[in-house]
Amino acid sequence: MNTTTNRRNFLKAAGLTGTGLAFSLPLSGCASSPIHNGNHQTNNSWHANAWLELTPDNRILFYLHRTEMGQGTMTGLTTLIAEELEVEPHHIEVKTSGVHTDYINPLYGIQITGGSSSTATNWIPLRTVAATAREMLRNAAAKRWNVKPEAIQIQDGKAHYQKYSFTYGELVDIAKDLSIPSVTLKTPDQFQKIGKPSIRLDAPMKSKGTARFGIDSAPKGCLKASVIRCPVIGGTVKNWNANGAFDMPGVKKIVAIPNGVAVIAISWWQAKEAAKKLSIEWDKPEFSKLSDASILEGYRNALKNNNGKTARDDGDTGSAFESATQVIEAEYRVPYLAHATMEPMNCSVVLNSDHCEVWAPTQGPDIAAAAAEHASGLRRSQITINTTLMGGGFGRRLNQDFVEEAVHIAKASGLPIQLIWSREDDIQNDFYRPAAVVQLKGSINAQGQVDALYYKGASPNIMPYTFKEASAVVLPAWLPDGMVKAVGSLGPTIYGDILLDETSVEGASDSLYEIENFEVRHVQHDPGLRVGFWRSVGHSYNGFFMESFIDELAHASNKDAYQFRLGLLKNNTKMTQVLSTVADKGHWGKPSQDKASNPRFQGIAVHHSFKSYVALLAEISVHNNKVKVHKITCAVHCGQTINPDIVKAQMSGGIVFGLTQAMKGKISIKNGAVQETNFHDYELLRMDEMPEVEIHIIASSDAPTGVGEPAVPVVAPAIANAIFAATGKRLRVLPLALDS
Amino acid sequence: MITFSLNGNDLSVDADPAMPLLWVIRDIVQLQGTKFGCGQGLCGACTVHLDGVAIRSCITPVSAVKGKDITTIEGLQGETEIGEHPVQQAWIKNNVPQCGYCQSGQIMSASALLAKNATPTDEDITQAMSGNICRCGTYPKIRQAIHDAAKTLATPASSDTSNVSSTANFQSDLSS
Repeated sequence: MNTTTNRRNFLKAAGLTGTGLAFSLPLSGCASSPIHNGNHQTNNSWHANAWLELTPDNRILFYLHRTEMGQGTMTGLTTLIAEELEVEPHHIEVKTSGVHTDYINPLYGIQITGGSSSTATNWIPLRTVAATAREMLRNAAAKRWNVKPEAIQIQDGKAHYQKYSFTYGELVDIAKDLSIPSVTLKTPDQFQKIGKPSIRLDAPMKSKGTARFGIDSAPKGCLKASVIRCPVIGGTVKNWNANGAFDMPGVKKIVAIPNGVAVIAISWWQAKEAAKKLSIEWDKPEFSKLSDASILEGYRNALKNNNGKTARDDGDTGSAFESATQVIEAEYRVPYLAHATMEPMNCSVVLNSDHCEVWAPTQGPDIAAAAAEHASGLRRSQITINTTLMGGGFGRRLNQDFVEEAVHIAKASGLPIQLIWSREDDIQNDFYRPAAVVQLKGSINAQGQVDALYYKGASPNIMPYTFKEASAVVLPAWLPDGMVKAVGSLGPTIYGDILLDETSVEGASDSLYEIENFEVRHVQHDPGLRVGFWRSVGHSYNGFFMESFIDELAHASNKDAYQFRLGLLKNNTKMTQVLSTVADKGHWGKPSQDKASNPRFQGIAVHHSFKSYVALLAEISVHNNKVKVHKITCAVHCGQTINPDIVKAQMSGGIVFGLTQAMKGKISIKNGAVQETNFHDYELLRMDEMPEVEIHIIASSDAPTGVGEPAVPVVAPAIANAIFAATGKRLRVLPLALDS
Repeated sequence: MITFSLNGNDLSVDADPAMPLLWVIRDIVQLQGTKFGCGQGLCGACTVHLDGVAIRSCITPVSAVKGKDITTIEGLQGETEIGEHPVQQAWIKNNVPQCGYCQSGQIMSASALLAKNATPTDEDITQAMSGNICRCGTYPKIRQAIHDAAKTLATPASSDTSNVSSTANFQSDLSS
């Protein structure tokens, strides 16, 4: 079956949802069901809509429905409100929203923060919401002064008429009873705040130590929990012995949960120390039979024995290869990777017989609610999720296993608890970026043109894992838990055997290279290690595969790697723009040389993801088989920027993430167990390896597109291409390493 | 009982002498600006000052700080009238933080560096800061902010705090 689906509509595609996904902007304060946003400020407030509350004492509250994990959404979305409401962003109080259908991410049908989508999907809605409130304030002022609305100026958080003015607070009483007008949004030439370098609202709290992350959000009286899990993910407790752990200082209780044994103590350190005493016998899953070598063999066999599903089939690659002058073939591969957010997974739970309150650093509060419902046995209406700041997300916190664990512990112990994972727990119990192996084949015809490209990849699909957790969010609340689990368990069948998972081939199947015969196939092969969304997802490896192989084809046809790409992207203005920008600003063909150090070489790459276009030029040197990255020049076309400084920070941060992937990242498996444990063996880039980074944003007033992820895919191939230029060695495996 | 000074206040805690200072600060004193990142002294998120020197509190047993002066991010600005230490001002002005989780530790390492070296070179900064991991990759802004803070400390009048003052009153339920 060759059905391609889009992960953004995956639940719809699986027939699990009705019309609930249709997005219509709720403009009135009367939601179809109650919104639980904690305590609203006052009964006299004007709840203009699900996002805005204005109080008679002139406070403006914005209920932020996307979660802040460093990507700057708190500042960006508040700026959209501020622009149309004519106030300074820092005069708006930002409150975290609760879980509600009004806050659903229209791309995914659930309330998640991910996919580099927050700015793009809120660009029109939030400005409309704010502009509507602004016009209602204007109409309210007109009523107070008994003049025409056109006579009123709205500026600096006030309504002005001649020498008189009202604060918004003074107009709340009238505005709340007015009808909802239709509004016209500002045009780019009218922007006062959008597109201007500006402050970052969360910088002060994050510089003064007052920002509250999940780990800081346990309510008073919570005890601390540490869990010992099976060394192989998916293993369950066969039997266990406390072995003196009960007698350790501070220990209050020890309970078994489905995937481990939890020690609860006054301090987390006490819980952690006591947990070392436990002896546990495990029922290990099938995956415990596999190690790195057997896993790789499995991938290769899967590629050999399966045709896989068609993700793209332009022209006829078969005949093109038959008539080719030259055929280039290569195998590329990447390992599993962990997210390694700086804040380890954690979750606080207060559970009683009819209510479960959760504090979680999560990218998916409604999935967290479903996990809490499942683990507590309560109804969805009895669950409250408080989302907190996140010490990094990168996709890891779209999975809610840590919430489920915490609720299990609270239920089994009858105690209010905060579960904190150690760094070792975090690295060894991730939902990993899939390992992938691909076969690539390209042909060059008699005219020296590339006329065919064939891609056949094997990797585990992510969707079955997501489906298992997320399907409960959109299933009717009255369905019994058993049935929800049954539907969730269909994920592997639907996405393993029936549908192609777009995330596995993204970056290849939607490649913008203009090649006449272009075929992309995917073999779903899952050795059994759970996988998840990792910053830029399938693009994180397909960018490396495609951009390295295109470089191979350029060299095989004796063409300049930059000109060769331009030639294959003739009809794409934005790709051409970013490519020529890095070639120009990064001095393509003229690497900067420093007499004191080794000669420098360049590599180039370009990739399209999350609707943005990114090119990157890397400058490196090689000494004693060690690669040093000196400088990165990057250009991005991402439409209108809201806050250029945050866009640059996201691109620069994505580059660092990509550098870690390119030079260091590897999760190894032995007998099913992840071998890496902490930052000494799962290393992240540090300041001493940080190259000079230069970011160029292409000026544009097109609708904004993603910036959180699109820088990641281009880093590894640009460096690999530079290594080829320096050494003549083509590195086809990540992390990049020259033999010593 | 182990007695030491925390942010200028004498403190006696009844704790296991082997308990890491980090968990004494977070779980007993309940100051939460100092973060847990690795528990092995590998990432620097837990950095505090011991008699003015940057140390990793996650691997420092509380018994080792008996009679010493400990400063955390909450005590960095001391008793000045201004709400922020010059390093914190430079961090805010440069929009350094992304997720922000490592930044307390980064700021404690940076302020300890500037206390002993008023005009650090790029090389000095690299050396002093390479023990602090930032997964978001804010390293270039960290470097710039340290240079800015060095200038402010040399001539306080040179500080441009317009960004700092405009955001100082920003309110959110995500800040304590």
